[in-house]
Amino acid sequence: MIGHPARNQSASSHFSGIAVIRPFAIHLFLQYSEYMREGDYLRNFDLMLLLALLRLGDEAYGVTIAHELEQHTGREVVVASVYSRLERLQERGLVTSSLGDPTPERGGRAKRYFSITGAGIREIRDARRSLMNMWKGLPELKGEKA
Amino acid sequence: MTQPPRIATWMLKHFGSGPDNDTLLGDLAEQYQRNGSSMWYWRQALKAIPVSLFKEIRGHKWIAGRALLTGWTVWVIFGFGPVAAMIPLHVPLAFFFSHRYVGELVVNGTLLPLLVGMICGWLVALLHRKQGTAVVLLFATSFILLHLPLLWKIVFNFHSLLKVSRGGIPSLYAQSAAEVGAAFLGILLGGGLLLNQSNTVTN
Repeated sequence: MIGHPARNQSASSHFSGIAVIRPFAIHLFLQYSEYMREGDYLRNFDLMLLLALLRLGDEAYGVTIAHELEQHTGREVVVASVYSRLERLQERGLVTSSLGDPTPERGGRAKRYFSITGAGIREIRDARRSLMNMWKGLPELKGEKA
Repeated sequence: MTQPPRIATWMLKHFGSGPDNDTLLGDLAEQYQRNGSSMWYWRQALKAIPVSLFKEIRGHKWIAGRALLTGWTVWVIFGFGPVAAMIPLHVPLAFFFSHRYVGELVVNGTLLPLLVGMICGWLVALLHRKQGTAVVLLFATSFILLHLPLLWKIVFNFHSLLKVSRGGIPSLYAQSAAEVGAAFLGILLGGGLLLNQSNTVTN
């Protein structure tokens, strides 16, 4: 910080605040590390996104995807996180995107349409197979289908 | 056609990062026309800013690290040098504000951090143009995070912000709050995040 002679007086009192925020900072760091460290597995949200793309077909863009997810999960979806995950899936080659025409309803901004690739469909099938295998033979989940 | 909340739109337009920001603004505007819920729009806009920032950092880890290093190096270099250079300014400002310490508060507490913050923000944005918004916001956030213990203290000693000692020295908390606030504002200003941005659609 830019120096002021009186600043040193409060230096020790500032450090007590560090003890208070340390758990919060550690939690934030762990969350961030978890976010950064991502394997090849599809997350639950990714799987739902891919399924939503399949359901929507040619009409899959931010608003409709979020709406589709909300209808089936009953939870509000952050549209920005839809884009964030779809970009990630696009990097993995599971999804492609193209820009549509701008409309006045959107303030002259274009839509970004998403569609699933062959690799994306294979990934969904693999995920379903793995889930069903894990599901079988669990007494706690008896009577429920994967 | 109803306009979505202006402040939320302004915030997302200026602080949202990544190539999809414009498309996202369009999506939110379209959905707002349908549901007309300002609360929904605000929630989406406020959540979109950290989501897009995290996405940009994840995609450009090295650039984010370099931007932080640049910002903090410039802050250390410029943050201490100009203090000595601007000390003569205290005297005329003391006459202007009729008290020496108030002059010091204006120079040390606001003008200098604002100026240094602007230089840091400008350089960070200049050296990382493609990820400009994200890296400037990241640096500004790191600045706030580093001063979190201090801000914590200020929140819990808010009553002492306005206290002035017998010698006329403004509260240390007031100086610190002014410094952090001015520097944060300077970083955003210098990084161009508060300027008008043109609508761009990137493919």
